[in-house]
Amino acid sequence: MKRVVIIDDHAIVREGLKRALHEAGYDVVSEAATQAQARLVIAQVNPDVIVVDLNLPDGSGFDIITWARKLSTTLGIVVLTLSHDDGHLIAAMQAGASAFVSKSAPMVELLAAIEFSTKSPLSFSAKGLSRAIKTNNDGFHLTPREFDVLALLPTGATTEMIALSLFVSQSTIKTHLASIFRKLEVANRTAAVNKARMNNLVL
Amino acid sequence: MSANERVKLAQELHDGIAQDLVGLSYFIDSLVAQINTPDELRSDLRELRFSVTESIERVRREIFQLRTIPTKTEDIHGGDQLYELSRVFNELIRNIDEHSQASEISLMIADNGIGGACIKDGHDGLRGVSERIKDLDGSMSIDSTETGTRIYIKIPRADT
Repeated sequence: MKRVVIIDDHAIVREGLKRALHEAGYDVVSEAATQAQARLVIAQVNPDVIVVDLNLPDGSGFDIITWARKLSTTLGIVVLTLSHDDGHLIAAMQAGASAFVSKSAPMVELLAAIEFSTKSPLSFSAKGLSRAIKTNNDGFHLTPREFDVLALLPTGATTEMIALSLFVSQSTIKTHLASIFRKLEVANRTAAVNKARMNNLVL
Repeated sequence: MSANERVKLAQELHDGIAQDLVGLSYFIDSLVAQINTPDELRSDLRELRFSVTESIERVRREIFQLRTIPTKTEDIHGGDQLYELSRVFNELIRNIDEHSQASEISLMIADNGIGGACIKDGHDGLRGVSERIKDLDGSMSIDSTETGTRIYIKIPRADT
């Protein structure tokens, strides 16, 4: 029986998903509502698959994906999100996810993605992938790391806090910020957050 | 509604009702998959799941629209102006409803634009309006020329 960890900050989503996956023959061994919990739980239980949301209260899911992929090349990583944004899809692929599924997709799609992720964790499967690659040429080309930094901006976190949260130096964060500003064609954080919101890059 | 209020509302929808519906849909999936669920119930549950999925999509679109705020200041201004006007309209209609004791309501909306308003294929907005007015046993006429458009609507007031 494949062992699954669910990472989502909404208890009702975790509970519903747990039941549905259990009925489908998966063993949901643990859950996490934050990035911090997720790191702890993944290290503790060493699951076969993680199902992860992109919006977490202490940062973006991309950070967890990147971290988990570095940790294991056999772990199945399935992104489960309300976002239909092509930029998010591409970034999930770049971060090392195995599949990307919409929260409004039918259960069979999620089950197929989980199954795929256990068989070929280092490949990537998503509905609309080819369209996303085409249209992403008109997008902002943010990297998964830049999405991580961007996700923390609306919280009002300082450069120091962002650096601490992502386990990198402040100068690295400053480089990411400069790159985000350049790609979004803005001059400061407030403008970056506004533009990102208007383009559905962050909530 | 200001841009900030719209973003805040979108966030509340995203973190609240949208995620609740997602959770519910997975609950339903688990019931559908349960071996001891009777077949009849299973087909009802599938229909229910379908409706919940449609609701998720509707909320998602709503969130998207709330957050896709016009970028230019003049667009925001224009949008807010029309939004304010629709609020005024709602208030006037509410007044009629509560205080007027009227048996008939007429409405005239005119602009000094370029005209061209008519009911035709591919322009579902006006067709929808016309069908609604018909459903209300009302009448509607459109007078649209290059100096502007005037739309007259008259409906009998329903007994309530």
